[in-house]
Amino acid sequence: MLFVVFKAGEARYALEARQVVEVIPLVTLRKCPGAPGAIAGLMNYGGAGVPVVDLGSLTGGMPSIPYLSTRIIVTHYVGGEGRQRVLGLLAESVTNTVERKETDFCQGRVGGAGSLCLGKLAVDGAGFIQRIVAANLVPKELEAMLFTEPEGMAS
Amino acid sequence: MSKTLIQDCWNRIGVQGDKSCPELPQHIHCRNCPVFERGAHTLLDRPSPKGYVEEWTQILARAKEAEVGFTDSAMVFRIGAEWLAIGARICVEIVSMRPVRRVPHRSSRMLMGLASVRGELLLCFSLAHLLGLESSTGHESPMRPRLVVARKDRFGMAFPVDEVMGLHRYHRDSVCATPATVAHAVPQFTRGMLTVDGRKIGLLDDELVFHALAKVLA
Repeated sequence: MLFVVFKAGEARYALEARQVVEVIPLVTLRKCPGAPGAIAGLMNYGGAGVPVVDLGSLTGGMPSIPYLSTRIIVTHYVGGEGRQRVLGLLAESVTNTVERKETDFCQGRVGGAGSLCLGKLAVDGAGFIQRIVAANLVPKELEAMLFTEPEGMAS
Repeated sequence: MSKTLIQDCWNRIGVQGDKSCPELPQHIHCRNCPVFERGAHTLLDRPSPKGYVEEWTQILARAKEAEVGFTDSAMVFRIGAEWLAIGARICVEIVSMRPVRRVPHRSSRMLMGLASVRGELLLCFSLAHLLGLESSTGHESPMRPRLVVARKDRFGMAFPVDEVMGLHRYHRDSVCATPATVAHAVPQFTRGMLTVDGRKIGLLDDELVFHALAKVLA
Protein backbone atom coordinates (compact mmCIF):
# COMPACT_ATOMS: atom_id res chain seq x y z
CA MET A 1 0.00 0.00 0.00
CA LEU A 2 1.14 3.49 -0.76
CA PHE A 3 1.17 6.07 2.00
CA VAL A 4 1.66 9.80 1.97
CA VAL A 5 4.03 10.64 4.81
CA PHE A 6 4.22 13.96 6.60
CA LYS A 7 5.10 15.57 9.88
CA ALA A 8 2.86 17.04 12.52
CA GLY A 9 4.59 18.49 15.52
CA GLU A 10 7.79 16.48 15.75
CA ALA A 11 6.31 13.10 14.84
CA ARG A 12 5.87 11.47 11.45
CA TYR A 13 2.55 10.19 10.25
CA ALA A 14 1.21 8.32 7.24
CA LEU A 15 -2.08 8.48 5.44
CA GLU A 16 -3.15 5.83 2.99
CA ALA A 17 -2.81 7.26 -0.53
CA ARG A 18 -6.16 5.77 -1.55
CA GLN A 19 -7.90 8.27 0.71
CA VAL A 20 -6.06 11.21 -0.81
CA VAL A 21 -7.71 13.27 -3.54
CA GLU A 22 -4.70 15.50 -4.11
CA VAL A 23 -1.96 17.36 -2.32
CA ILE A 24 -2.10 21.12 -2.79
CA PRO A 25 0.04 24.00 -1.57
CA LEU A 26 -0.99 25.96 1.46
CA VAL A 27 -3.66 28.49 0.58
CA THR A 28 -5.19 31.40 2.43
CA LEU A 29 -7.83 30.05 4.78
CA ARG A 30 -10.96 31.68 6.03
CA LYS A 31 -10.70 31.57 9.80
CA CYS A 32 -13.54 30.04 11.76
CA PRO A 33 -13.78 32.02 14.99
CA GLY A 34 -14.92 29.96 17.89
CA ALA A 35 -14.04 26.64 16.29
CA PRO A 36 -11.61 24.37 18.16
CA GLY A 37 -7.94 25.18 17.62
CA ALA A 38 -7.35 22.24 15.32
CA ILE A 39 -9.70 23.66 12.70
CA ALA A 40 -7.42 25.89 10.67
CA GLY A 41 -10.30 27.31 8.66
CA LEU A 42 -12.15 26.93 5.40
CA MET A 43 -10.50 26.89 2.01
CA ASN A 44 -12.09 27.71 -1.29
CA TYR A 45 -11.60 24.45 -3.16
CA GLY A 46 -13.00 24.73 -6.65
CA GLY A 47 -15.76 27.01 -5.46
CA ALA A 48 -16.76 24.96 -2.44
CA GLY A 49 -15.87 25.62 1.17
CA VAL A 50 -13.78 22.75 2.47
CA PRO A 51 -12.76 22.62 6.12
CA VAL A 52 -9.06 22.25 6.84
CA VAL A 53 -7.82 20.52 9.97
CA ASP A 54 -4.35 21.43 11.20
CA LEU A 55 -2.77 18.11 12.08
CA GLY A 56 -0.04 19.92 13.98
CA SER A 57 -2.55 21.34 16.43
CA LEU A 58 -4.59 18.18 16.48
CA THR A 59 -1.73 15.85 17.38
CA GLY A 60 0.89 17.92 19.13
CA GLY A 61 -0.66 21.21 20.03
CA MET A 62 1.75 23.11 17.78
CA PRO A 63 0.18 24.68 14.70
CA SER A 64 1.96 23.84 11.43
CA ILE A 65 4.61 26.34 10.36
CA PRO A 66 3.69 27.82 6.95
CA TYR A 67 6.71 26.57 5.03
CA LEU A 68 6.74 25.64 1.34
CA SER A 69 6.66 21.99 2.35
CA THR A 70 3.60 22.58 4.52
CA ARG A 71 0.76 21.50 2.32
CA ILE A 72 -2.89 20.61 2.39
CA ILE A 73 -3.72 16.98 1.82
CA VAL A 74 -7.21 16.86 0.35
CA THR A 75 -8.83 13.63 1.50
CA HIS A 76 -12.04 11.72 1.07
CA TYR A 77 -13.91 11.84 4.31
CA VAL A 78 -16.91 9.72 5.08
CA GLY A 79 -19.14 11.60 7.43
CA GLY A 80 -21.55 10.42 10.07
CA GLU A 81 -24.39 9.42 7.75
CA GLY A 82 -21.99 7.75 5.36
CA ARG A 83 -21.88 10.80 3.13
CA GLN A 84 -18.80 11.27 1.05
CA ARG A 85 -17.13 14.56 1.79
CA VAL A 86 -13.85 16.31 1.22
CA LEU A 87 -11.61 17.37 4.05
CA GLY A 88 -8.31 19.23 3.99
CA LEU A 89 -5.47 18.21 6.28
CA LEU A 90 -2.75 20.72 6.94
CA ALA A 91 0.60 19.08 7.66
CA GLU A 92 4.32 19.78 7.48
CA SER A 93 6.94 18.17 5.25
CA VAL A 94 4.45 16.66 2.82
CA THR A 95 7.18 15.72 0.39
CA ASN A 96 7.21 11.96 0.20
CA THR A 97 5.33 8.74 -0.18
CA VAL A 98 6.31 5.30 1.10
CA GLU A 99 5.31 1.79 0.21
CA ARG A 100 4.38 -0.23 3.30
CA LYS A 101 2.46 -3.40 3.94
CA GLU A 102 -0.64 -3.43 6.09
CA THR A 103 1.18 -5.80 8.44
CA ASP A 104 4.07 -3.35 8.92
CA PHE A 105 1.78 -1.37 11.16
CA CYS A 106 1.79 -3.63 14.15
CA GLN A 107 2.49 -1.57 17.25
CA GLY A 108 -0.73 -0.77 19.02
CA ARG A 109 -1.96 2.78 18.99
CA VAL A 110 -0.27 5.10 21.43
CA GLY A 111 -2.31 8.02 22.61
CA GLY A 112 -5.03 9.02 25.00
CA ALA A 113 -8.74 8.98 24.55
CA GLY A 114 -8.64 12.28 22.70
CA SER A 115 -6.48 10.97 19.87
CA LEU A 116 -8.91 8.68 18.12
CA CYS A 117 -7.54 9.62 14.75
CA LEU A 118 -4.16 8.09 15.48
CA GLY A 119 -3.76 4.53 14.33
CA LYS A 120 -1.10 1.89 14.55
CA LEU A 121 2.63 2.48 14.36
CA ALA A 122 5.26 1.12 12.06
CA VAL A 123 9.00 1.20 12.59
CA ASP A 124 10.72 3.14 9.89
CA GLY A 125 14.45 3.81 9.57
CA ALA A 126 14.50 7.17 11.30
CA GLY A 127 11.85 6.33 13.87
CA PHE A 128 8.16 5.62 13.87
CA ILE A 129 5.43 6.47 11.47
CA GLN A 130 1.91 6.40 12.73
CA ARG A 131 -1.15 5.87 10.61
CA ILE A 132 -3.87 8.46 10.57
CA VAL A 133 -7.41 7.13 10.70
CA ALA A 134 -9.17 9.66 8.51
CA ALA A 135 -12.64 8.62 9.61
CA ASN A 136 -11.94 9.81 13.15
CA LEU A 137 -10.35 13.12 12.25
CA VAL A 138 -13.35 15.28 12.97
CA PRO A 139 -15.21 14.88 16.26
CA LYS A 140 -18.81 14.00 15.61
CA GLU A 141 -20.22 17.15 17.21
CA LEU A 142 -18.05 19.31 14.95
CA GLU A 143 -19.16 17.55 11.81
CA ALA A 144 -22.57 19.19 11.70
CA MET A 145 -20.93 22.58 12.02
CA LEU A 146 -18.22 22.09 9.40
CA PHE A 147 -20.11 20.27 6.72
CA THR A 148 -23.34 22.06 6.35
CA GLU A 149 -25.28 22.10 3.15
CA PRO A 150 -23.06 21.74 0.09
CA GLU A 151 -23.95 18.38 -1.36
CA GLY A 152 -22.26 16.39 -4.06
CA MET A 153 -19.03 18.22 -3.55
CA ALA A 154 -16.11 17.36 -5.80
CA SER A 155 -14.66 14.02 -4.95
CA MET B 1 11.97 23.79 13.76
CA SER B 2 15.65 24.39 14.33
CA LYS B 3 17.71 25.96 11.60
CA THR B 4 20.04 23.25 10.45
CA LEU B 5 22.76 24.19 8.05
CA ILE B 6 22.65 21.94 5.01
CA GLN B 7 25.62 19.58 4.94
CA ASP B 8 26.53 19.91 1.28
CA CYS B 9 28.65 16.77 1.18
CA TRP B 10 27.93 16.50 -2.57
CA ASN B 11 30.06 19.61 -3.06
CA ARG B 12 32.91 18.34 -0.88
CA ILE B 13 33.22 14.56 -1.26
CA GLY B 14 30.55 13.85 -3.86
CA VAL B 15 30.38 14.26 -7.61
CA GLN B 16 30.93 18.02 -7.37
CA GLY B 17 33.88 17.54 -5.00
CA ASP B 18 36.78 15.15 -4.82
CA LYS B 19 34.54 12.06 -5.17
CA SER B 20 36.02 10.45 -2.05
CA CYS B 21 32.64 9.64 -0.47
CA PRO B 22 32.55 5.97 0.58
CA GLU B 23 28.88 5.79 -0.42
CA LEU B 24 29.51 7.02 -3.92
CA PRO B 25 30.34 3.67 -5.61
CA GLN B 26 27.08 2.27 -4.29
CA HIS B 27 24.86 5.15 -5.48
CA ILE B 28 26.92 6.00 -8.61
CA HIS B 29 25.73 9.62 -8.54
CA CYS B 30 24.83 11.92 -5.66
CA ARG B 31 21.35 12.37 -7.01
CA ASN B 32 20.60 8.73 -6.11
CA CYS B 33 21.77 9.17 -2.53
CA PRO B 34 19.29 9.56 0.35
CA VAL B 35 21.45 12.30 1.89
CA PHE B 36 21.09 14.37 -1.24
CA GLU B 37 17.35 13.68 -1.27
CA ARG B 38 17.00 14.87 2.31
CA GLY B 39 18.97 17.97 1.37
CA ALA B 40 16.56 18.66 -1.45
CA HIS B 41 13.59 18.27 0.85
CA THR B 42 15.01 20.72 3.38
CA LEU B 43 15.02 23.31 0.60
CA LEU B 44 11.27 23.32 0.96
CA ASP B 45 11.44 24.00 4.69
CA ARG B 46 11.38 27.74 4.22
CA PRO B 47 8.70 30.37 3.93
CA SER B 48 6.94 30.59 0.60
CA PRO B 49 7.95 33.37 -1.77
CA LYS B 50 5.88 36.51 -1.94
CA GLY B 51 2.57 36.08 -3.72
CA TYR B 52 2.84 32.28 -3.81
CA VAL B 53 0.05 31.55 -1.35
CA GLU B 54 -2.24 34.17 -2.91
CA GLU B 55 -1.64 32.78 -6.39
CA TRP B 56 -2.45 29.23 -5.36
CA THR B 57 -5.49 30.37 -3.42
CA GLN B 58 -6.84 31.83 -6.64
CA ILE B 59 -5.91 28.85 -8.81
CA LEU B 60 -7.51 26.33 -6.49
CA ALA B 61 -10.64 28.39 -6.04
CA ARG B 62 -11.43 27.96 -9.71
CA ALA B 63 -9.39 24.88 -10.65
CA LYS B 64 -12.30 22.48 -10.99
CA GLU B 65 -14.26 24.16 -13.77
CA ALA B 66 -11.27 24.20 -16.06
CA GLU B 67 -10.38 20.57 -15.52
CA VAL B 68 -13.81 19.04 -15.60
CA GLY B 69 -14.97 17.20 -18.58
CA PHE B 70 -12.81 15.20 -20.90
CA THR B 71 -14.69 11.99 -21.48
CA ASP B 72 -13.34 10.88 -24.84
CA SER B 73 -10.54 11.52 -27.23
CA ALA B 74 -10.44 11.51 -30.98
CA MET B 75 -7.71 11.34 -33.59
CA VAL B 76 -7.87 14.33 -35.90
CA PHE B 77 -6.79 13.97 -39.51
CA ARG B 78 -7.27 15.53 -42.91
CA ILE B 79 -8.45 14.07 -46.20
CA GLY B 80 -8.23 16.56 -49.01
CA ALA B 81 -9.55 19.84 -47.67
CA GLU B 82 -11.69 18.20 -44.99
CA TRP B 83 -10.59 17.82 -41.38
CA LEU B 84 -12.16 14.82 -39.66
CA ALA B 85 -11.90 12.99 -36.34
CA ILE B 86 -12.40 9.38 -35.38
CA GLY B 87 -12.51 7.77 -31.92
CA ALA B 88 -8.97 7.35 -30.61
CA ARG B 89 -9.91 4.00 -29.11
CA ILE B 90 -10.06 2.30 -32.47
CA CYS B 91 -6.76 3.76 -33.70
CA VAL B 92 -3.94 1.30 -33.21
CA GLU B 93 -1.10 3.23 -34.76
CA ILE B 94 -0.19 5.77 -37.39
CA VAL B 95 2.55 4.75 -39.76
CA SER B 96 4.23 6.30 -42.73
CA MET B 97 2.60 5.81 -46.09
CA ARG B 98 3.67 2.62 -47.84
CA PRO B 99 2.81 0.77 -51.01
CA VAL B 100 -0.69 -0.65 -51.18
CA ARG B 101 -0.83 -3.82 -53.27
CA ARG B 102 -3.98 -4.43 -55.23
CA VAL B 103 -5.90 -7.64 -54.60
CA PRO B 104 -6.63 -9.28 -57.97
CA HIS B 105 -10.31 -9.22 -58.86
CA ARG B 106 -11.28 -7.73 -55.51
CA SER B 107 -9.81 -4.27 -55.46
CA SER B 108 -12.18 -1.45 -56.09
CA ARG B 109 -12.06 2.25 -55.42
CA MET B 110 -13.21 1.50 -51.89
CA LEU B 111 -10.92 -1.44 -51.19
CA MET B 112 -7.50 -0.23 -52.24
CA GLY B 113 -5.64 -3.44 -51.49
CA LEU B 114 -3.23 -4.78 -48.91
CA ALA B 115 -0.56 -2.93 -46.99
CA SER B 116 2.09 -4.47 -44.79
CA VAL B 117 2.42 -3.01 -41.29
CA ARG B 118 4.94 -4.72 -39.04
CA GLY B 119 4.64 -7.88 -41.05
CA GLU B 120 0.86 -7.96 -40.85
CA LEU B 121 -1.11 -7.61 -44.05
CA LEU B 122 -3.96 -5.20 -43.53
CA LEU B 123 -6.86 -4.40 -45.78
CA CYS B 124 -6.54 -0.86 -46.95
CA PHE B 125 -9.68 1.17 -47.54
CA SER B 126 -10.22 4.54 -49.06
CA LEU B 127 -12.06 6.66 -46.54
CA ALA B 128 -11.94 9.46 -49.06
CA HIS B 129 -14.03 7.42 -51.44
CA LEU B 130 -16.43 6.24 -48.74
CA LEU B 131 -17.05 9.80 -47.64
CA GLY B 132 -17.08 11.22 -51.13
CA LEU B 133 -14.09 13.50 -50.56
CA GLU B 134 -11.49 14.72 -53.00
CA SER B 135 -8.20 13.38 -51.73
CA SER B 136 -4.80 14.81 -52.49
CA THR B 137 -5.70 18.28 -53.66
CA GLY B 138 -2.10 19.16 -52.96
CA HIS B 139 -2.22 22.89 -53.40
CA GLU B 140 -3.53 24.34 -50.13
CA SER B 141 -1.53 22.51 -47.47
CA PRO B 142 1.65 20.49 -47.45
CA MET B 143 1.16 16.77 -47.84
CA ARG B 144 2.12 14.57 -44.92
CA PRO B 145 0.46 11.34 -45.94
CA ARG B 146 0.05 8.70 -43.26
CA LEU B 147 -1.54 5.33 -42.99
CA VAL B 148 -3.86 4.97 -40.01
CA VAL B 149 -4.20 1.45 -38.61
CA ALA B 150 -7.55 0.94 -36.91
CA ARG B 151 -9.08 -2.06 -35.22
CA LYS B 152 -12.55 -2.77 -33.95
CA ASP B 153 -13.74 -6.11 -32.63
CA ARG B 154 -10.67 -7.86 -34.06
CA PHE B 155 -11.33 -6.45 -37.53
CA GLY B 156 -8.14 -4.64 -38.37
CA MET B 157 -7.78 -2.35 -41.35
CA ALA B 158 -5.89 0.68 -42.54
CA PHE B 159 -6.80 3.85 -44.36
CA PRO B 160 -4.61 6.56 -45.82
CA VAL B 161 -4.99 10.18 -44.77
CA ASP B 162 -3.31 13.30 -46.08
CA GLU B 163 -2.27 14.64 -42.68
CA VAL B 164 -2.64 13.79 -38.98
CA MET B 165 -3.04 16.60 -36.48
CA GLY B 166 -2.99 14.46 -33.34
CA LEU B 167 -5.31 13.56 -30.52
CA HIS B 168 -8.05 15.85 -29.33
CA ARG B 169 -9.73 15.39 -25.96
CA TYR B 170 -13.29 16.50 -25.54
CA HIS B 171 -16.37 16.11 -23.41
CA ARG B 172 -19.16 14.12 -24.97
CA ASP B 173 -21.63 16.94 -24.24
CA SER B 174 -19.53 19.35 -26.30
CA VAL B 175 -20.25 17.44 -29.50
CA CYS B 176 -22.78 19.45 -31.47
CA ALA B 177 -25.16 18.33 -34.16
CA THR B 178 -24.03 17.97 -37.76
CA PRO B 179 -25.40 20.59 -40.14
CA ALA B 180 -27.46 18.93 -42.84
CA THR B 181 -26.29 21.27 -45.56
CA VAL B 182 -22.95 19.64 -46.35
CA ALA B 183 -22.91 18.26 -49.85
CA HIS B 184 -20.78 15.12 -49.58
CA ALA B 185 -21.45 11.93 -47.66
CA VAL B 186 -19.64 13.02 -44.47
CA PRO B 187 -22.80 13.78 -42.42
CA GLN B 188 -24.08 10.28 -43.03
CA PHE B 189 -21.11 8.88 -41.12
CA THR B 190 -20.69 11.47 -38.39
CA ARG B 191 -21.84 11.50 -34.83
CA GLY B 192 -21.54 15.26 -34.57
CA MET B 193 -19.18 18.18 -34.83
CA LEU B 194 -16.17 18.91 -32.65
CA THR B 195 -14.52 22.28 -32.30
CA VAL B 196 -10.76 21.91 -32.59
CA ASP B 197 -8.65 25.08 -32.66
CA GLY B 198 -11.73 27.06 -33.63
CA ARG B 199 -12.39 24.77 -36.58
CA LYS B 200 -15.53 22.67 -36.90
CA ILE B 201 -14.60 19.05 -37.47
CA GLY B 202 -16.83 16.11 -38.23
CA LEU B 203 -16.51 13.31 -35.69
CA LEU B 204 -16.92 10.04 -37.56
CA ASP B 205 -19.02 7.29 -36.06
CA ASP B 206 -16.58 4.38 -36.05
CA GLU B 207 -19.46 1.91 -35.81
CA LEU B 208 -20.94 3.12 -39.09
CA VAL B 209 -17.59 3.45 -40.85
CA PHE B 210 -16.54 -0.08 -39.95
CA HIS B 211 -19.93 -1.42 -40.91
CA ALA B 212 -19.78 0.26 -44.31
CA LEU B 213 -16.27 -1.00 -44.96
CA ALA B 214 -17.09 -4.54 -43.88
CA LYS B 215 -19.95 -4.51 -46.37
CA VAL B 216 -17.46 -3.92 -49.16
CA LEU B 217 -15.91 -7.31 -48.43
CA ALA B 218 -19.20 -9.16 -48.41
